[in-house]
Amino acid sequence: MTTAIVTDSTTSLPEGTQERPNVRVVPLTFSFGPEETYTDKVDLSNAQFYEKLENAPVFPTTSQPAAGAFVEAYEALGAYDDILVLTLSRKFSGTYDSAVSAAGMVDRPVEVMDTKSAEMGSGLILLEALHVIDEGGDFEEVKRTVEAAIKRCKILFAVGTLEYLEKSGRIGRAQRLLGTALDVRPVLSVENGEVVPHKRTRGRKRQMTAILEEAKPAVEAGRALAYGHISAWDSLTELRAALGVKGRFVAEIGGVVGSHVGPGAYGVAIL
Amino acid sequence: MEGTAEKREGAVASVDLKTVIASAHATLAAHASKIDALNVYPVPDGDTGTNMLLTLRSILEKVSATPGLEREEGARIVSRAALMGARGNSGVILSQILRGACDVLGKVRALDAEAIAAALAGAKERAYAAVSEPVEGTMLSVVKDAADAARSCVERGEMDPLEVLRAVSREAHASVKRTPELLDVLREAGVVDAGGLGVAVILDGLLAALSGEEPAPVDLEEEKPEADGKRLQEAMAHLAEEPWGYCTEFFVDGFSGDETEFEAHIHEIGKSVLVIPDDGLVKVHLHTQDPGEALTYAGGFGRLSGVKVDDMEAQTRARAEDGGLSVSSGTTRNLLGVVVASRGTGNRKLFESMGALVVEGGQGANPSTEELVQAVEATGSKDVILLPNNKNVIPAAERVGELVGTRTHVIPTTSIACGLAVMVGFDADEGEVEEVVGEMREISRGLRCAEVTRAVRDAQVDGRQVLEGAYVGLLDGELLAVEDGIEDVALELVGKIIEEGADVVTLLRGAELEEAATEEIAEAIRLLDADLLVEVRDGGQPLYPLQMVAE
Repeated sequence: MTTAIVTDSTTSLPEGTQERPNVRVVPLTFSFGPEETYTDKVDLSNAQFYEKLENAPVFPTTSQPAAGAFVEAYEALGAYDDILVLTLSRKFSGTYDSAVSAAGMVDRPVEVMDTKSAEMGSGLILLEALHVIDEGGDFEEVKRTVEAAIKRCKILFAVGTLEYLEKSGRIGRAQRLLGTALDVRPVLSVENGEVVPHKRTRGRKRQMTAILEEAKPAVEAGRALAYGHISAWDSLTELRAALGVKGRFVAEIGGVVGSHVGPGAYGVAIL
Repeated sequence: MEGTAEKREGAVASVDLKTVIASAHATLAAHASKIDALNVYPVPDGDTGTNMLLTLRSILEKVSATPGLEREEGARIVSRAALMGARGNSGVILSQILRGACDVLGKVRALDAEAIAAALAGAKERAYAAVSEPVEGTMLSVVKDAADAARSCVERGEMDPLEVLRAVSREAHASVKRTPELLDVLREAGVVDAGGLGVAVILDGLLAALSGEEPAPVDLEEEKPEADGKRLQEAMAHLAEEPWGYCTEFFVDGFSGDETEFEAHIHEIGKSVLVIPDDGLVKVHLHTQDPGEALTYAGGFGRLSGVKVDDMEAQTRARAEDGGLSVSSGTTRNLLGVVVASRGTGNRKLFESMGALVVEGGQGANPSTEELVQAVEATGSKDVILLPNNKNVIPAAERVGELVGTRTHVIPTTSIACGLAVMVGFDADEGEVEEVVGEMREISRGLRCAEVTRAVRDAQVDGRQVLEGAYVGLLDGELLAVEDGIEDVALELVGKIIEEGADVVTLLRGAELEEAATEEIAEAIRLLDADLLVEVRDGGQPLYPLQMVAE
């Protein structure tokens, strides 16, 4: 009755989690042109990545992991009774499809679930799963807990600029925020696997206020939080102080997600 | 004026409604620019006379179009036309005064002394009810004093309606003179209330029509401001213009001849006619297919100057091609639409890009209720948000709801820049109507609106000496800075805004300000506070070289 978890590199993990024997991380990759391909959160430090992002003549493209990479991960976990795969939202990437194809290539049952989130959101969901496993829960309990967590999970984040969201073209309904005659720095949310405009705001303070308005009741209700940011340490520190909760972890968001939201973004995942 | 009414024992008989309104209009026209100049702040927003005149003019047009009216029907038409044609704060209050009077006059059996007293009482009641916080020392006090004078006259046993009206007219002027005693800002500025004077002058016009006497000359000796016809000229150029023929404007200098005959002839050959006599100078505005004919005719009355002829049909074609006046495609079928009043091409484009329908008008040229009504209907939306973008347009916007089948939501924005900032919260497709409106209201409450304009005359305001031509900075309508240079004023305003913790400032460049100068101001503002986000947009609004909004 042992369970292992496989996830992709867009899931933010607190220190030490990745080193656990029952956790495997399959990386996504991104390329600045055909000649320069990097493994997410491995080949480049965040500082190096964002410097490249701002200065490179081309916008990076991101690639889902090959099915083979998932097959390798599943095979390496042969000692475990059950494998649960937690991927980032299918609306952002084909990673889920890779994981599902890979599951068909191995001679053992593998359960693939779409977290409908990413980074600190999928990180919180993964921690819930590990908690049940550590408490000795069986696979069904783990799955039930994860399903419930996926339903509850919500990310709120402030963007520093709409430029990257526009370039990446992956912002769904938030698309309408583009082309506003005045500079808009909205608060966006990730809900049901999609990026949606939460509030149209202008200016840093209004963004912070909009996040606080939503997050404070969650804190009061005792819900779990995790923070994340991209080169926005100061704003994030301010947000944490205002909420008065340290959170389960603070993530530095990696290049795959970061190339879409751009530097200056920060936010909170609520479970 | 022709059409003198006969006087019968105790009642005025066979009064031609058109004659009465025309007389009131003519009397007000003669004083409109003087009334415009009675402005508390020395900033170019004194369009009280113009607004009242344009409101009366729309009534005159409606009444002229339906001859042979019975009194009851006439009262109804005047009431409705006043409501639709109301422009600006003063125009809206005037329309309520007229409605109140018409409600009574439509029902009375004869136009006797009692009817006049009752009509004025009705007018007073409506006027006070139209204002949420009535302030004394304004046109409200004048209409109240006039109504009281009529009542006591009747109670003293006066049976002659003309005698009652004479007493009313005398008391109205006395009341105007007392307005500075009731309202501090008037006393400090050394002026009487402009709207009040408008009411008194209109009463003179009514009396003149009913008695056949010339209206008494208005004594404005004590009032310092010089008449300045600029506002009126500008309003003339911004009338709700029918795209027909050539818009023709000119002045007749050293006018000699029969003014009444002259005006009647211009009305005959043109549409959208304005004939405004002003100290031997007559200003003329008309739309005609043959401008040459009008000019030749007018040339017989004096020397022509300031001749301006525009092909209206070509303008309309160009605007339509430009996508200008048409409803932006995004707005047409949405449940929620936005109508804004705005001035300047840049601002129009900014608003349209965010999905609003723009009614040209605002500072110096207030749109009428009717223009707003038409725009609201043009959106085709069930719910329409109105952004007046000027404190003088708010009253007209608030009347729109009574006249359309659409639900209207007025967010009382006081400047174009504020309106733009509020538009950021608009999304026709996202969320419930109440939610969107609520969000826009919330944004509106968090804004500081700053404006820079130039003083139109010397004045003493809040203990400050303001010289004509100086740059004046207003923060949310309050005078904050007076300097010789525009940059100094802008920096003082922004300094105050930063103190209060704003972190975004948007600058809207007006028609009078150079691009390079605007950039310099923006740079200087950035130096004040490195964390402040400063953005510059081309607004093109007249009268305000710079408008700013901060959040």
